Amino acid sequence: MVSATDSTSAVTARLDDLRGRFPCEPEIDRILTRKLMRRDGPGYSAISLQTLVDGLCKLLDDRIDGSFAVASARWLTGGSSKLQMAFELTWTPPGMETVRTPMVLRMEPAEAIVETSRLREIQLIKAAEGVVPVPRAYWVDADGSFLPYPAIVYGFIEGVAKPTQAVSGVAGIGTYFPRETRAMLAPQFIENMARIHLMDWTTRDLSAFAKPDSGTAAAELQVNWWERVWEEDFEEDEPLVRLAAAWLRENLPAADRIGVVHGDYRPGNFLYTEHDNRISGWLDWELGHLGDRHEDIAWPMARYYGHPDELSGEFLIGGLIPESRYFELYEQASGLKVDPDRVHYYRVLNMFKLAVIVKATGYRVADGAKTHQDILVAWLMGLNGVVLSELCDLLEARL
Amino acid sequence: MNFRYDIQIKTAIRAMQEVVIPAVDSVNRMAVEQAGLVLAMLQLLERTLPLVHRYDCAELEGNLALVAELRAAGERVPSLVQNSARMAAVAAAASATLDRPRTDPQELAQACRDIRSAIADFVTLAYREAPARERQIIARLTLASTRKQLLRERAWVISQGWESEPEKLQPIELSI
Repeated sequence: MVSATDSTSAVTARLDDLRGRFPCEPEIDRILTRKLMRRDGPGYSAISLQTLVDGLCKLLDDRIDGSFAVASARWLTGGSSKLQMAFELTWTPPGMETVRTPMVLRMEPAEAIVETSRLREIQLIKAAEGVVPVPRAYWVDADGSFLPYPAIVYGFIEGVAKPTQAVSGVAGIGTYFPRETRAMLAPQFIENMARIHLMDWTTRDLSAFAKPDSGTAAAELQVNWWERVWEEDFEEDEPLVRLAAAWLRENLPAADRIGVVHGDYRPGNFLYTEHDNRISGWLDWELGHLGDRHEDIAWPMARYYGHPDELSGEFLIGGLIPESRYFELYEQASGLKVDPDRVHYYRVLNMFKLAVIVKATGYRVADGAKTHQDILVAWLMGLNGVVLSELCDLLEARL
Repeated sequence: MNFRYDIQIKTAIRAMQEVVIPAVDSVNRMAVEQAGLVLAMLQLLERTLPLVHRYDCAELEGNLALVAELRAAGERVPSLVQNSARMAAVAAAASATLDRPRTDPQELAQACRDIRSAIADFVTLAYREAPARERQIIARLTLASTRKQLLRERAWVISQGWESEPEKLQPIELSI
């Protein structure tokens, strides 16, 4: 019979081994360690809106001076990893009159398809305030001291992630924007990406982030992060993923500049208002980090985020921008050079990361009944074939 | 015994379509989304369940062929010899499972997993130890074999709608 102590010892030994092989940023290590320590624990049990409201009120009691009231709580959908509840808070912000503010509570399940830090997420959203449109970040419950699991609270933003009449896949994949919408959104998409990369992050509180040293450290940290997740989560091995990991290590590129990387910069992760086609907010900063801008440039180039133009047949990056003009438009907006070789490297890394997420973590969390939407997580596993096919193409081009 | 998966799935689909989904509270967006996914998952299952055995056999046959190619490519690399022999032993066991009459489906699935692991270990080692020429051959063999496997995998889930040009994929029934 294996005792709880034996089991904990085994996990600790495994963690020591993983840390030695795949050194990550301290906060990433903390959340991955927490995940493995809880893995054999209970799955996710359905949480009622009332339970969330009760936990939220405890958090607000701790963070707000004076009275407040929470009303109109309701579930939101749209993401594949976190629970989201919209509500309205009547409160008196410091130095202001009493107001009624629409807000969103974003909370982790027991384990998510991407295991990330709420502290990092809220720090990045705050850092991006005034740089690009983001929701106003209010409070964080970094360890789940008040709510069932770690959570953040931010302002509700008006807007849609896809045209109201659009047919698209889950999690914003396969979104189709009409031509006139594209014409308006594309320049903002590029401009916002450039602004994120040009942000002076040294003046912001990004204490939950480690700054990679110059040279290849930025790329290596990312390979370490995602290879560690693969090792922790995979159920069925995949020779192509192993080949990609080896290739990524052998071809680590040097970053010329370290900046904020959103980490999931694509259609589906911004909201826009349909009456004027203006981007109203960038969401889902949970994969953000300090690193090489080419990682963000490469991310929306995944083929399943785009489609050919109806008239010219040219492929549209993210369903928005003609492929032939993408780098040029980014260079014009940012004043920074695009290195096509580094873009290629990060396209491989991004597909590797996605393969880890859908094939390894997706299976692991759905099998363990760890989320509020296991069926959605399991559904996303079907994306594996498309992701790995793109990874095949990208590797083949460099062998 | 005719109380089989076909009638079970068929009746579950009809119940979802005609009774459950229309009754879901449209304000509860999470419930609406998940009800739709339950239906889509049942429809995917209805189409693929009869093909699982053929699929696993095709995957195993593909990986057995890859093992033979990888062994040939690495035979002159001393540091791969031991690993290559281990991979061959796993392949021999998997081949026996494939050929055995009345093999349990779960044994077949396990054989698929075992041979994937063995190949993955070999590829990792080869990338670290083999000279550039052999390494490139091994990488290209792995990519070519994986590509065939992925065409099957994508055809398997075609109803999920990930493909931009689904008509270019061979139907799963013709791919296994």
